Amino acid sequence: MRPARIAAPFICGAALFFLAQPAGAAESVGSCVVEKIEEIGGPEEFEAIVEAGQAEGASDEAKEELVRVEDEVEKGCIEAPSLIIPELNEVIWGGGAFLVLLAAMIKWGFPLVRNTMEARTERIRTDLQAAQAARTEAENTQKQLAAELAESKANAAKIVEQARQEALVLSANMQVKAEADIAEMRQRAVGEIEAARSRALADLQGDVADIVVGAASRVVERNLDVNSQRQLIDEYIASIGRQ
Amino acid sequence: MSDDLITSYARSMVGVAEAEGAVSVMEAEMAQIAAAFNASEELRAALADANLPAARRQQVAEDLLGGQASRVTTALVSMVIASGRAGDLGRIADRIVRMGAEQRGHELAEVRSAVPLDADQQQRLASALSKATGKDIELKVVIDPSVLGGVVTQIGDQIIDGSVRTRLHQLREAF
Repeated sequence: MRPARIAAPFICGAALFFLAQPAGAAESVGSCVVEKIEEIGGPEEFEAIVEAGQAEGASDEAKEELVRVEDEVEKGCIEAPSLIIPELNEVIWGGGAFLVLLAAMIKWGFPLVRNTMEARTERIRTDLQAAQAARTEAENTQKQLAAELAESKANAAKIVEQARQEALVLSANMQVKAEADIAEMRQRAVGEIEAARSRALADLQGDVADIVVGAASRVVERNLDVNSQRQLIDEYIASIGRQ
Repeated sequence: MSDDLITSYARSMVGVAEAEGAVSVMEAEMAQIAAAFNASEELRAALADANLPAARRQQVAEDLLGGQASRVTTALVSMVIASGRAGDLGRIADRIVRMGAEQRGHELAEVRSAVPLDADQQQRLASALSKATGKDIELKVVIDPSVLGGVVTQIGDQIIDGSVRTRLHQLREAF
């Protein structure tokens, strides 16, 4: 059971105890005196005791009887009852009222208080959860931002490193390409020189061949008389016959 | 001129020669005319000269052939010139010779030589070519001074080259 529900009856009881008027104060003094007089023996008897005790020359017994009756009436009706221990009827009425009030409290008050407390607790819990969620979200956002920042830094460093590597590679490639170009140019120049030399040699050979063959053709043409032509034709016919 | 037109002219001229009963004579004379026509740039230019009237060119051809070719051959050559096909006269004559050989079941061998072959040489060369190819060969001798010496024979796509010109080329290539 929740502490509030336990404390509620005690709080109500304490309030009833301290705020209630004393039982004696609630009754009239006159009725109390009448009751006391009736207990003594009735008004006639009481008057008789008073007159006997106040008469001149009253005996000591009458005076003592008067004092005793006055004390009894005074103690019973004039003096207030005990502040700590109430009268029985007060206990009964007070206890009944307390029970009625307690029942009413259990029936309507406690649920209302409980609902209010639960609603408040739920609201606080919801607020706490929202605060926790907001805090978690903030922490997540902070972590995410931190991660993104770290990632950005890492990416930046990576890009810088990549650019540096690419620059190194590019530099190396350019150097290699330059060396290759130089080697190719050198090779091409050597090839062109060689080709030019070969061409010149071939041209020279061709010219020499043309001169030689031209000279041979002129010699052959001059020497190809009718008999030579006939002999060539006969040789041709003979060569076909051998095939 | 397209091959179809050449063939059409050749068939027409063979038809006329057949009608006149002078096919063999015409073919032989056409072979000589083809050789002369292909060998002489001057002759081709004169007969195909568009600046000369056709009648004048016909007269030139008839003068050249007069007394050496038959009447039918001369008339057919004159007809080709009058038709404006003098530039193709050599091809038409070649086609007539080839068609005649094919009609007789013979293969035509074009023989190029710097000097004319006598009858004995032609007979021995035809015999040797027939033996080498396994076909009946007819010769069409073309005088070609560029051959220098020896003979170049073409049978279809096959060429048998025994010319001095080719030997000199080989000597040139050997350098």
